[in-house]
Order: sequence, then C-alpha cells, then structure tokens
Amino acid sequence: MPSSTSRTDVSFHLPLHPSDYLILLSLVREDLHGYGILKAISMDGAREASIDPGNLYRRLHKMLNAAWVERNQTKDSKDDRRRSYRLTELGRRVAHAETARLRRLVESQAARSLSAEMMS
Amino acid sequence: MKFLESVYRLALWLYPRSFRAQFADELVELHRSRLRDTQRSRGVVWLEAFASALRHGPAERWSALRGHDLPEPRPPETPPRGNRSFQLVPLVFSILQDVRIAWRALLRRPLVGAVMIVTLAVGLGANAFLFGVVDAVLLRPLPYEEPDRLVLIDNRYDENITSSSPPDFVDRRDLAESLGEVAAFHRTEMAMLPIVESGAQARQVQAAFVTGQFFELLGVSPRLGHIDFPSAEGQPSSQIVISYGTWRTVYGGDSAVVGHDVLLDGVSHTISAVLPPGVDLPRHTDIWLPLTFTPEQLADSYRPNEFLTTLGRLADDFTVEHAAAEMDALAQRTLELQPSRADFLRQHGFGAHVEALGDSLVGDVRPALFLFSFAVGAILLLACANVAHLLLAQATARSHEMSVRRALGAGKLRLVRQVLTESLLLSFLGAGLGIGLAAFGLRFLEVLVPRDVPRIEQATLDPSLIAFALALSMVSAVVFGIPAAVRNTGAQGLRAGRTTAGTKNARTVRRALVVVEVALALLLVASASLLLRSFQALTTLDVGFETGGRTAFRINLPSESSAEQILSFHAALQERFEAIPGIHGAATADHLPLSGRRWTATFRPEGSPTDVVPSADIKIVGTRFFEVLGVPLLAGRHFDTNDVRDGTRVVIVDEWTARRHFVGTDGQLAEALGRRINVGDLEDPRFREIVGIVGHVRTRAFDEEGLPQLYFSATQVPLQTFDVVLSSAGDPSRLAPQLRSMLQELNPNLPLHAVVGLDELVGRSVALERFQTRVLGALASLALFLASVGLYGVLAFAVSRRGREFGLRIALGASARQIASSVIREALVLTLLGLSLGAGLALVAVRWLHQLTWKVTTADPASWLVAAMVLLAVAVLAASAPALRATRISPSRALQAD
Repeated sequence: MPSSTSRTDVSFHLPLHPSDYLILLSLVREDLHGYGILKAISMDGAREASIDPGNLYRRLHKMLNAAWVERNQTKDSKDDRRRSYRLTELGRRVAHAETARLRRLVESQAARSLSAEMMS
Repeated sequence: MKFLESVYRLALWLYPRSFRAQFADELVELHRSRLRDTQRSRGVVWLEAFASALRHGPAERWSALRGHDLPEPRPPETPPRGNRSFQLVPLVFSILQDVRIAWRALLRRPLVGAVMIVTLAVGLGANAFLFGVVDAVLLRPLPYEEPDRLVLIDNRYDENITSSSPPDFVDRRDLAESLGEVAAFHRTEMAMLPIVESGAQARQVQAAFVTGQFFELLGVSPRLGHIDFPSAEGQPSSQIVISYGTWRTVYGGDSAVVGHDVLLDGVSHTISAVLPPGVDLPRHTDIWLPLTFTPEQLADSYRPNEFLTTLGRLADDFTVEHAAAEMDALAQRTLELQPSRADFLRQHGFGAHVEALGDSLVGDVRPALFLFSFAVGAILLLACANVAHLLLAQATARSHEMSVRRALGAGKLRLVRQVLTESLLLSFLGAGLGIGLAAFGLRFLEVLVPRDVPRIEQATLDPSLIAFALALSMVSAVVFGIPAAVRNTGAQGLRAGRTTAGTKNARTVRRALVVVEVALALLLVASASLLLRSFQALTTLDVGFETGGRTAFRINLPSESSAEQILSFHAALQERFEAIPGIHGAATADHLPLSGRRWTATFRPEGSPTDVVPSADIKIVGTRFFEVLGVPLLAGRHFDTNDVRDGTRVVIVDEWTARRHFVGTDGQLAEALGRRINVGDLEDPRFREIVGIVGHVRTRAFDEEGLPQLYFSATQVPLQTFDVVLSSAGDPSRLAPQLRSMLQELNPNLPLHAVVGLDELVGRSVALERFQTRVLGALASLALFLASVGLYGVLAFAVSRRGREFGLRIALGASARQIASSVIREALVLTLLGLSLGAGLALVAVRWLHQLTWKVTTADPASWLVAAMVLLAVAVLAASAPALRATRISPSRALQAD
C-alpha cells in the first residue's frame, strides 16, 4: 500500500477477522517468525485463541499484500527459512482502530449491564 | 523420519503456486519447531499438519481465484471456535459436531425418531432389495463372451413360436450371412447314476444335448478337463460335461472327476469337463451331452420334427433385425423344399423368430420388475413424505429455538446445514436398518421368488447394493429435509418468537404432500387390484382336469430297455401302486398338461386333402389316465389292455377335434367314433382309429386355449420316460417313502425324484403371476398404510394448531357435528384432490400394466372404483380421531391458552 494513503481512514477494514487481530497484536511488541506468532497467540489469549498453522500463513499472505505486515529484510538469522515479520505503520493503525472499536463495544451500556449480570 | 515430512510437502501442492513459493519452507520449518516443543508423537503432529494443509490449501486456492487480496471484513457470524481447529482433522471434527447435535435432537424425541427411522428403513430396504434382484436379473452381463451378440432363433407360425428342425439349424449355420457361429440344443430329463465305489443313488438331472460349436460360441472354457464335442454331422460321442453345481453337489468338488463314468438312463458316459459357475444355458441344466444328427434327420423330409433351439452369434456389423429378416427369408426358401407342406406353412405364416439371448431370458420377468421398481419407488416417496411431515411438525415446534439462533447471528446456511445433517443422520440410520432388511429378504429369496426368474440365485448383498442404498438415502434426506429446512429459515428473527400456528406456507406444503401421497397410493392399490382380478380370472378357469389329491413324479427307464420290458414294467407299476392302501388309481403319460412340456404334430383326417393339415397337441397315456385325472369321457371308450402293439392303432381325440374336423358344432360326438386319421407322416397309410372322445384340457398354459388334442395309448407306444399320477385320499406327500421302496423293488437303479402334488405342479405355471400379485398386494397395503398415516398426521397436527379456532366456534354455539365435519371435510377434499391427481398419473402408468394382466383391461372400472373407495374409507378413518379430538376441545381452556 503506497504511503500517500497512510493518513487515510482504515475503518472500512473493521471489524477485523479475529485471527488477523490476534496476529497483529502478537507483533506489537516484537518481530516474530511464524512459529513465534503461534506461540505468542496461544500464551497471550489462553487456549481458546489459537490459530491453525495453515491458516496463519494464509492470513499473513493477505496482510503482506495489504502491507499491514512486512518481512524483515535484515538477515538476523543464518537460517533463511525463519524470516520474521514486522508490523507496518498501516498495520499498527488498523490494530489501533480495531482495539478502539472493541473498547467502545465493551464499554457500551448493554455490555456493562451484561457484566453486571455476570457479577450477580 | 523424513518420510512424514515429504508427505506433508506433497500436501502443500494443494496451495496455489505463488503461496507455496513464499511460505512452503516456512510452514515446514514451523511444524518442525512444533515437533521440537511438544511431547506429542511425530505422527500426530504431522497428521495435524497434513489435515491443516488439506483444509487451507484448497481454501487459499479458492480465495486466490476470487481475487480477495485484502483481508475482507467478515460479519461476526462465526465466532472463534476455541481450540477446535488445532485438534486432528478439523473438517471431520466439525461434521462430527453437527452429527452430535443432530443425534441429541433425535434423542430428545426418541419415539418420533424411531418412527421416522423405521419408515425410512422400510422404504429404503424395499428399494435395496429390488435393486439386488434387478441387478442380478437384468443388469449384470451374462457370463459369456460378448453376450449382447448372442441370439436365439426359433421357428414361428404367425405369432406362435416353436422349436426348429435339424435341417433348419443347418440352413442357419451354413447359409446365414448375419450369423457367425451357430449351435443347436434341446433339453430333456435323464436319470443319472454316478459310478463310484460306494452305492450312489440315481438322481434325475436336467440334460441338454448341444452341437459341437456350443461352448466355443458362448466363449466358455471349462474349469476342469477339456471339451471336444463332435460336430452336428459327426460321430456320436459318450462324453459329457457337468455343471459347476453338479460337480459340487454330486462329486463334492473332487478335482479328479474328469474321466469318471456315469450311467445316464442306463447308458455309460464319461465326464470330460466341468464348467465354471454361472454357465446356465438352457436354464437349470445339470449336464450337457453331444448332439449329432443322422443323415435322415438332416433330410428335408425331417423338417416337421421341430425340437431344437438354435443359438447364434451375430456377425460383425449385423443387428438382431438384420438376422430376423434373413432368417425369415431362409424360412421362405424352405417352402419350396417341402411341397407337401408348403400350403400349410404359407397359410400359417411360417417364418422365423430371432431374439437376443438376454431378452429371451428375462422376457417374462422384465415388465414385472419394472412394475415393482415403480412400486418400491412410490413406497420410498411415501416414506419420505411422512418423514417430512414429522420433521415439519418438529420444525414448527422448534421455530422458537431457530428464531433465537437466527437472532444470535446464525446464518441461514448454517441452519439449513443443521437441518440437512439431521435428515442425513435419520436417512443413514434408516438405510442401515433397510440394508439389514434387504439382506434378510435376499437370504430367503428362494422362498419369496419363483425359481423361474432367471439368475435370481445370484442376487446377494454386495457392495453395489450398499452403495445404491446409501446414495438413495442421501437423495431421500434432501427430499424430506427440504420442507423443514425451508420452514426453519423462513423464521424471521425474533418475530417468529411468538408461537403462531404453522405459517400458511408450511400448511400448504403439508397438504400438497398428502395429496401426492394419496395419488401414489391410488396408483398402487388400483394396480394391485387389477393384478388380483387378473390372477383370479386366470386361476379360477376350468382347466379341464382335476388337480386336488393328485400326486405326480417322473420315471426314466434305462434307454436300452426293450419294448416288452417297458410294457411289463408299466403293467407291474400300475398293479403294485394301485394295491397300496389309500391310492385310488395310477395313471401314466409321456407328459402332463400344464407341465411346460409339449409335443405337437400335424394330422390329417382320412379322406381330407394333404395340403391343409392342422396341428395338434399329442400325449401318450396309460389306460387309466382320463379316470385318474378326472377328464370326462364324452363318447366311446377308454384305452385298455386289449389295445396291443400289433393290433388296430387307436387314438382318443378331444371334443374340439371331433367337432372341428368330424361332426361339426351340432353333430353327435359318437358319429366321430370309428373315423380314422394319420399323424406326422401324412403319406403313412397306417391310419389310427378314433375309439373315444374326451373333454378338452388346458395343456399349454392357463391363458392359452391350445390346439386340438390327440391321445395315443401307452400300450401301443411304449414309454421309456413318463410321468406317473396317483390319486389318493389324504396327504399324498406321506406316500413318498412307500413309493420309493416299491420303485426300488421294481428296478433298483430308478431314481424317485421330487414327488409333488399336481396342484403344485400346475401352480408353477402361474408362479410368476401369483408372485406378482402377492408382491404388489403387499406393497399396495404398505402404501395405503403410509398414506393414511400421512393424512392422519396432517389432520391431527392441524386440529392441535387450530384448537383456539375450534374452541371459539364451540363457544359461539357450533355443534360437535359441525366441528367434526369440518375436519373430515378437509380430509375428503385432500383425498379427492389426490385421487384426481392419481387418476391423471394412471393414464400414463397403466400402459405398463397391460402386459401383466390377463382378460382384465387396465381401464377395468371396478378395480379403479374399488381402489378409490378404499382410499376414501381410509381417509375418513384417519380423520375420525382428529375430528373427535376437535369436538372435545374445551372452549375456555382453548381461549386462555395464548
């Protein structure tokens, strides 16, 4: 995605596919290779948030094309097969937007009364 | 181990090429890393990887095709489903989950579920069973080389098909261009006594005499030994070939059987070969013997002796029609070769009949199988309709559940998938049970299906039958699942959360289903009643002789017996048997009426011209034949022991012969006595004198009046092979041991084959008709039952849903009669609609039936009227319970209910 669109609205991507959101989140703090992403997701989000490896690369494939993530060109590893992925500026903004959307949802009147129900 | 990894790499080819180029190495590496970190076995890890590729590879291809490069926003209809996707094969897993949900839904209403499964099992089982039969009888190719090219050729007189003579066979073999190889055969019965150390018992066998080319023509090579039958003009040979079945039953599958000697009708033969299983031409043959002809038999003067069937293989580029045309032309040519018969032959439309071997084997059975296929198909439709009713009722009851699920975001397709999974589960369970029923039926095939049906013994439970049943069950699942699926997705969000009476659409669907059910039931019931009337007409005919209390069996005397020996045997037999207490009389005949055997020859009354010669059915009978069989003597006398071989040659004729050829319709029968005829060889100066006139007897078939009949005396024409009929008081089958020992005293080498009641023997000639009638009757009853259950279900459901309306009407002063009649009126309207639809369908369907009925037109108003009345009565019956319930609705409770 060209940089001229970097300021454009990303809201039309929302809501994100849950798997995409999980992958983006896992890359927020560090660059990871595929297996690292899988492990980060299953540690972070507990057991119910895991991704099938076959699906992981399909999502990555799409996100690479959409320029939400990119491959690390630096040869930090001798093994070429363990290339890591890095969040782009665009990807970071998409993740922000999704997080904001989810927050609005969770803080909505309905969700609050729902959690009140769960407390009682 | 690199092997599993390579398998996985192969699976990666499921992904599109560009994807593979970017990620293949990374994917493999990722799984290696997983393997390092886990305690699970290598196999499981790679299996999961493999399953993942199986699922996502094609999916990626699909999205690549659709060109969705951006991660498209998806509605949250499928929430993340836990760790499901990381367990084993995900696809199977998700299906299993659907099945579990379906199973739970089924267990919630076990009774309804059981009813649905049994209903489907009956429908699917009937279809699977019939498929097994049709597959064996019609579909599987005959076990011969290029069986489609094999034809049978017979002589034909107008529409009557008869056997051919040896010169006819030679004509076809040597002159026909449309035929390649040609062989001839005829069948007979023989007494076979295997010569082995231990005392073997003689048995009666079906023997076929076949000319040299027979087995080569079929493309059959023996399982053991080798076949070298002489050509038709060659020297007689004493070798025989035995069937696989005979080999197993008589010789216990002994591979040293080749070279064994057997006595056939007392003459020694040598077994030269055993055939492979399945070779069965002519049908039920146990042994095959070489058939050769003497020069006299091949002369033109021998042409009136028609006893052969010709088997031919079509030459390349020729069809059955070509062969038929050429055979007819050959037949015309023979007219010039026999001037004395030419006029007769011309007058009777002499020609040839050519039929594909396969068609001739299944000819009689095919229409019946078509009819049954239609009937079981209708049963399955009825079963599906009833299950659809039940599912619809459930769907209405579950509309609240479905609305809630829709509201929570389940997609339409998801709900349809759920309903169809439930249908499939029901259907597979029904199919499983149905296959069991079919297997049970096939096991008892011999009891259920007459032996005449060709190749029926090959019908077994095999993979194709199971595949058929499963495929049919899937189709059925869609058929009966769709109404409920449509009903469910029709539930619009929470709006349907209110329990309204089944929506108008659903009610229309149910009513349409019932109308179709009634129509199908009408077709089946009317067909059954047509067949039943036809069968009754057939079997209540006066056949001209008595069958009750008569027992019959067949005897073959050694073929080298002299005429004197045979005559004294007959006399002794008569005397001994009639001395047995309980036996009223013993009669002998070369063959019995309606036994499937016949002997036809031409005859000429003395003084009439030789150019017009009628044919007659001829029997050679013992002295007490007419008394024992209860055939009335109308004039003259019976045969007696004074009719000796060198005395006056005598003949007894039937009333037809006497009236048609001697005294006219109004004359005195006695005037025919003393008149003379000659038979067969028309130039023969030795005439036979008519000494008696008896009643006409149905001899060929129940539905065929037959030809004039002539009887010769067994005292003048010694019978080496003959039937014995005993009339007795009480159960004749109890006599068998006594008969056997008496026969052993007379001649220890004689087999006593099946002793059967004459009733049964004659019944066999209508076995197929009886079978058809019974089967269709059973299917029609089933259809009637299913249709009435469907009608009942719809009305009962409607009454329960309209409780409020009825309550209101009762409160407003409607009488019980008005309420009940409104329910029954609905039943009648639906039934009448069904009856008209059925009548419409019938116009098309009855064309098949006329091949199966006899003396009853398919438009027989009585049958249709009876069927319609039965259905109306059943409809009223089915409606009465719901109607009664409607009148008992309490107005106050009904109005409060909502």
